[in-house]
Amino acid sequence: MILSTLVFLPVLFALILALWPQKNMIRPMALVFSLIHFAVGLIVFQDFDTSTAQLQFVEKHMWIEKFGIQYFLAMDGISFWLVQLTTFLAPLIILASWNSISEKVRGFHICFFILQSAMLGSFLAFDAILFYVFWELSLIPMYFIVGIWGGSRRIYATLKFFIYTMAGSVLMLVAIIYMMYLTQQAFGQMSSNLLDFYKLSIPFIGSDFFSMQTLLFFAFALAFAIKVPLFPLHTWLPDAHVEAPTPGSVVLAGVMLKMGTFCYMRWVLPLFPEASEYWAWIFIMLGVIGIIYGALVAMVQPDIKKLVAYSSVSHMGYIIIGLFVMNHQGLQGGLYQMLNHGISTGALFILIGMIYERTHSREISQYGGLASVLPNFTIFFFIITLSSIAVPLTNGFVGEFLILLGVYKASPWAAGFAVTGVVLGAAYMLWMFKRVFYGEKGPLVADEKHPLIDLNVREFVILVPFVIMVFVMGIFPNHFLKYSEASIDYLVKNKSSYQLTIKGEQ
Amino acid sequence: MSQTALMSILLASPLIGFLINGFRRKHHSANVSGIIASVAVFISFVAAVLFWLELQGMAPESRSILVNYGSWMNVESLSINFGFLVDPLSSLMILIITGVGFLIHVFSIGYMHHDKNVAKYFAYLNFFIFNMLILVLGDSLVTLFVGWEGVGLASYLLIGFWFTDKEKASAGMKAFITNRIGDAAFLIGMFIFFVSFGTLNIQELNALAPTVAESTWLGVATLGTLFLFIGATGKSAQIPLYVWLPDAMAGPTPVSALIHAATMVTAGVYLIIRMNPVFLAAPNTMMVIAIIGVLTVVLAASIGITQNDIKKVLAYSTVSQLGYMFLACGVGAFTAAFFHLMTHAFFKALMFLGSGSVIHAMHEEQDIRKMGGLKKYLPWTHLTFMMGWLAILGTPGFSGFFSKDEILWMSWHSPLGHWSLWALGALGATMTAFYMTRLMALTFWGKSRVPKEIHPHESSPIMLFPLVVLAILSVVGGYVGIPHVIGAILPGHPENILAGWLGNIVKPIPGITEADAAMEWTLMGVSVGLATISAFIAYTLYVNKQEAVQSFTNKIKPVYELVYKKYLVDELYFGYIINPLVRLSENIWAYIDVRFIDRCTYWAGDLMKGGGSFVRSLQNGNLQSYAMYIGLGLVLTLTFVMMR
Amino acid sequence: MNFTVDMGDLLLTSPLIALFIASLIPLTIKVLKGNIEQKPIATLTQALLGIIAAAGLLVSFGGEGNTAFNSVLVFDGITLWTGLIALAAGAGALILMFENPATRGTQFSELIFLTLSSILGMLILISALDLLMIFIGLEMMSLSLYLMIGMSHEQRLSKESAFKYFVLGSFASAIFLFGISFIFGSSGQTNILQLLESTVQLAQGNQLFLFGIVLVTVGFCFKVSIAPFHAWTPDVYQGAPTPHTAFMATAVKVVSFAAFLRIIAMKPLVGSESLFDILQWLAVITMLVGNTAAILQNNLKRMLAYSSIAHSGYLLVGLLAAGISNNGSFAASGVIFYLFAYSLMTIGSFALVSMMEKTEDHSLDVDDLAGFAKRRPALALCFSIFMLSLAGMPPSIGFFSKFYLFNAAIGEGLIWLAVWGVLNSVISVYYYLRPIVVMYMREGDADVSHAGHFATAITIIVTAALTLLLGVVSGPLLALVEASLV
Repeated sequence: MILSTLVFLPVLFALILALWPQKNMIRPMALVFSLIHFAVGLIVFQDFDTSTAQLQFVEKHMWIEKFGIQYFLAMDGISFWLVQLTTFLAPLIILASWNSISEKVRGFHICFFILQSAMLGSFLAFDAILFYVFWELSLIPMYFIVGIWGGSRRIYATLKFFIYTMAGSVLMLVAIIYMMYLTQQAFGQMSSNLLDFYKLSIPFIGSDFFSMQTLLFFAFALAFAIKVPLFPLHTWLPDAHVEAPTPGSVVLAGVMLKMGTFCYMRWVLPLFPEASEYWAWIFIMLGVIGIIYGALVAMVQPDIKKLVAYSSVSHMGYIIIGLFVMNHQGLQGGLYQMLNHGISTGALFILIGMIYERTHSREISQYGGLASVLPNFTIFFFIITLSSIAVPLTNGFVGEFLILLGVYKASPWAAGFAVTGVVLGAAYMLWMFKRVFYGEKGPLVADEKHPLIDLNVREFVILVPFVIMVFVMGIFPNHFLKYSEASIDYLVKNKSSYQLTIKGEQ
Repeated sequence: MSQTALMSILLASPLIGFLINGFRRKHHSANVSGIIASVAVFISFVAAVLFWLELQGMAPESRSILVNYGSWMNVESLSINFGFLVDPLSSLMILIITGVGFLIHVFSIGYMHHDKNVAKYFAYLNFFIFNMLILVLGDSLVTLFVGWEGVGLASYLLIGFWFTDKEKASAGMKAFITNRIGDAAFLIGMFIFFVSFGTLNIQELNALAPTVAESTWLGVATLGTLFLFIGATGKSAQIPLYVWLPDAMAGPTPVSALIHAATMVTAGVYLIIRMNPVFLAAPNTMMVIAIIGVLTVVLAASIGITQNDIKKVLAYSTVSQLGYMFLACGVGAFTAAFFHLMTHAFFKALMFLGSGSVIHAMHEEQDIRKMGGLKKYLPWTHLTFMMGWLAILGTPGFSGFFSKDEILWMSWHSPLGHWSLWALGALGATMTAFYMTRLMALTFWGKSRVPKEIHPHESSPIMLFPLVVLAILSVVGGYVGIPHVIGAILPGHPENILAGWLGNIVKPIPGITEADAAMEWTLMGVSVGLATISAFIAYTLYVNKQEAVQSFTNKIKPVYELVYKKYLVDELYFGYIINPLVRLSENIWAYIDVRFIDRCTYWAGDLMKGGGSFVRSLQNGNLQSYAMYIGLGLVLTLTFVMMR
Repeated sequence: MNFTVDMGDLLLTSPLIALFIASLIPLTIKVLKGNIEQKPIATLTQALLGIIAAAGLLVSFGGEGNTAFNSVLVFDGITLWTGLIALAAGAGALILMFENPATRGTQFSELIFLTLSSILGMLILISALDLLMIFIGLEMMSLSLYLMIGMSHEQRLSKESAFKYFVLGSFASAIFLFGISFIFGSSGQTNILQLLESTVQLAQGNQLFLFGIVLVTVGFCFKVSIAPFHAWTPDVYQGAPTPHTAFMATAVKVVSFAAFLRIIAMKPLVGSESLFDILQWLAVITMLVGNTAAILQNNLKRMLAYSSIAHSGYLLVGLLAAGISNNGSFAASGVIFYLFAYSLMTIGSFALVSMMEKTEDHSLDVDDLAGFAKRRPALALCFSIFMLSLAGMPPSIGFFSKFYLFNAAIGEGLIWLAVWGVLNSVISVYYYLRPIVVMYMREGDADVSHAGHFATAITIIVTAALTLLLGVVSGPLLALVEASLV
């Protein structure tokens, strides 16, 4: 029941918040709820068996008999940390929204909790339709969060986000239905159970683009590529990020983008092993292009938030190439980088939100010399910057190193190009850092009428967990990697006969 | 005391110092912060000495202490530990780092006395020491890389220490990013080794590499070492990545002494010495290293001649001296490289601190054209600086003489060497003598050109103490590596202590022959002679005949300007790489993202809307039209169905 | 032939009879009271009771596939389910009529009579097992509708649309009737049960029969607004009073599709591949026409009209699947479930439109919704649910109905139609999201009357709740439908 509790507890919270009479209690209640949710998530640690790739905490009930659609939640090493990341970020996001969301507070928290539910659901669902429901559901609250609490071009951005993402996923729905018919052919009974999908052997002819596995592969891969987002499908992201309110950006970068990369590991690689291998070059190429392209474009952004948004494109490129080389280091690194990106980019957006609350501007050129005015803020920003540019002993390094190592093993050329991201990443982050924090005081910073005030206690409380995670994950990566070790090992070794079993059965 | 505990003290002490000063960075007392930081480094120094003593007590073959704090990253076959290795090489290195580092910390107490953010400054310094120790002690390339990037970070922070000045902040950024280029290559080098040998442990690599000894360009060892060497050119400021180092002089002067002269910049040399069996397995790489090294020697020295900023001169001198070290590595004379690394640490730290003392005395004036005759105001500084000058000149008996001479001799004698390497090296030495003498002459000797409002004064004892200690080291530091030919004629026939100490670390050069003593003497004489002549010319020119210099430079103005502007390399990089890259980025953003991808999206949207307006235009509200559509539809349908 | 009317027939047709009686009650009372309207609430109650009675009788006696009156009427699963949907939609529409300014008033009893007659026609239509009977049902339903629209208080538009509807509808009826005559002429039958056995063969070989089938199909295509026979839809939907539009968009469409389904179930598509092909293309065009045109509409009703056209396109895909399926009633049940889902969402949406209409001439634009979320958060939420559900977002019933429909289509190999359908639903997102954008993300003072729309508000909330809930638990419902269709 633990997984159902995890997934649906936020819905319950949302309901309570919707019906709670006092308006001024919404924020504290939401915070307490999110902490409870986080604590519930921690229960999983106790019973999680790291030695097996089998599914754990399985909950399986028939949902729609006729189609073999099940309510099937389970956890394995791949989803373990992403679930933790989702619940970990929630209280911090709510704290971060304390001031930035000043209107329609109730609505915001309801949206946020429903979003939590949907994201957790898509991490934990092992039934294609159940997964699709959660996957699509996650769009709606995000749509509202950007559209209602966003910036001036919020409507444009949120529509773009919604339509882009949905355009990708509807083809996946067709593919899912098609695969359900394949299960019917193969096993006599239609099923959308992912474990049954894994058992299918879908015909693949490399040279034929219209061979079945290739088509299904691309139907899935496209949906996830848009979510990731992979170059050249990324243009919704900068707009969404820039217009989203701080908490929206954090969820978007922190967790939602991970849904895309996660699903490559959960769905694409094991379901279509031959196609993934045959077409891996496209994704590696696009990933590498994304790394370089994202970094270059980030470098010249005048808007600090857009810069970070493009840096996400670059970072997500790393994850993609890590996944598609399909070896231990690449996959582990990719998974690790998902967590890293959640932490570091999430924190960056929170930091940008904090400074935006003070100055109401994100124009880099308007800043300058911030370091002497807001020293504590600067330190936090700098530490997160280090994490983002993958300095050793921060979390970013572990992920990037493992990915690049894995990629080099499979494709030295790709690694050679990808490694330029290491340089470019430092270039755009430090250049931005220099322009914002160093040098003469800019017009916004020197404004006598609005003296800037350094971090308050609430902001400290938000940022400290991020910084702790940055170093803990950078110095003790094994404690994190061991949870996914068995699952990844199984994936690498059995990618063409990937058949997960349920722990405790047989 | 157990080795683990000792190692913990060695590493943790500067880290704790960093944290203490980091958390109390609002305090402004240089004394308190400085003492905390200095004590932290001193504790490390003591630990380093204890390690050294411990190694002394071991049999020469088994001199190595490995402290493993457990696994760091463990993915399938990749297994990286927090392992730290003390062996004869790293023990010496940590002695230099903590020793020289301690002196520079002490100097900083005086130098940074009036700075507001002094606690932050000392925190950064301790942070640097911590990372440098990790770099040196790390037993795998990845742990080494931790320190490698860590010192880069510390360097970034310290160069940009006075960040309100945009130039200084830029210099820090430039250093970091340039280093990052090297680091990216370093990563690739690591990957090559991992994929080929399945390990990144340095000891294991050293053991495995000779098995693949090769002469091709695309072999594992060659490619791997080449990439590592690119990493080294970044950190150690060699062609083509040296450009950050002169700019790095923007940082406080003691920082330049510690990081950009004595320790961090030698990391690349250290790396090559550390992995000398691997590098020896790749003769092509060795050739590249030697050539790059010697070219850097000449290039940097030539720029050094024209510079007017006291620190810039020293900076180019550092680049040039690092070139010698790489030259030594390239010809396989790793002991000589390390020897020069050590003596250079002494005399260059000394001169940087000396320049700091001068700058301090001159109230932050760094232009040597505005100095002159400082000898009488700053007697101690002058005296100690002169020791450094004599050392770098290669004056017989001073430390620089022994190490530089060994490098030059090996570049001729080694089977990996070549007479042209020697010739260029000797040319470099001649130029070195010239610009260093020029520096001395313009700064300390001759007539005073000090502006009236400045009243130079000698520095406080706390700043002089490190100068004196380093001066002594600069003089006597060379006696640990007396060359064989000289040892043979000296009473008691002293051995080359350093060579003996490093004997088990450094692989002998394959195919080296017995030295020809007469030849060695001759070459030594030639280079010393050239340097002496050059120093003498410089002395006469700059002490007495500056007008002559002026008219000469005017005559060869274009050449002079070119050299003065550092061969326009920075402009070249900006004009042909960085600015085009930024423009390219702006263009791809504007054209690919905004004008193409987004356009396509809108185009799809417009297509839909276009379809919609077509439908709407048909929807004219006219009953007859509607009836016509129905009729037309009916006819078409019927035709289609019935005709097939 | 020997016609006898036995008890079974009467029991089977009892819903029709009940409805007929109920339709007369308000009118009779009015006449008896000397042409004075009784209270509208009383009229409404009588009508609703009649509908409930009809529904109850339908559930009790229908649904087993029994035929009545010598196999002219059949009460099988299709009749049962589409009948229930039509009755429910009719009830919903009645509630809207009760509170909408354009329909409330002195002629309410007459309106009720016409509405119930129309529903009666619908019941005949869906239970008809004879082509002529289908025609009768169709005409009864339509004629009542023409009058309903025409007698609205609203002056210009509804008259015009009633006229358009009447003329074009008659045109289509003529085509339909013409088709029947060809079928009769070529096969000597008008009874579907008998035609069922020979349709495939006749469609393959007999050009005249095929001609007739095409005409009949086109007649239905008009009724369910398949492009290019859809042109009346936007004008009529917009012009008619909103409750009537709701009625047309749901009940009329449901029963038309049900009857269409009966025709298709004779398997003419198996016989004539070219008919199958052209219908595929019509489905494709319909989806595109509906969705692209809806993007440009500012008028909410017109937008919903185009959306309704688009949904007809989706439904046609399901119908095609049902037409070639050997897989029992799977596809057909998908169609019926879709009809149910669609009616639910549409009634809800129109209810909201109806509620926001202040006067009879008021035409509601999307922009008029600005600030609605602030004024009436619950109703705004409900409307968002309808819109998202219409767009096919999970976990609403809109998603599941699309899932079943396209599942059936893919099962029959109509993958490209399914792909086209889902891509179209992406297009549709654009205009379905627009009202949400306006309601939630634009400042404004949506003009909401608080009084007098209690029943409508209840309708909105109930349909919204069902839209959400029945999505999640749609499995058993679908199984029920499917089981009853066998």
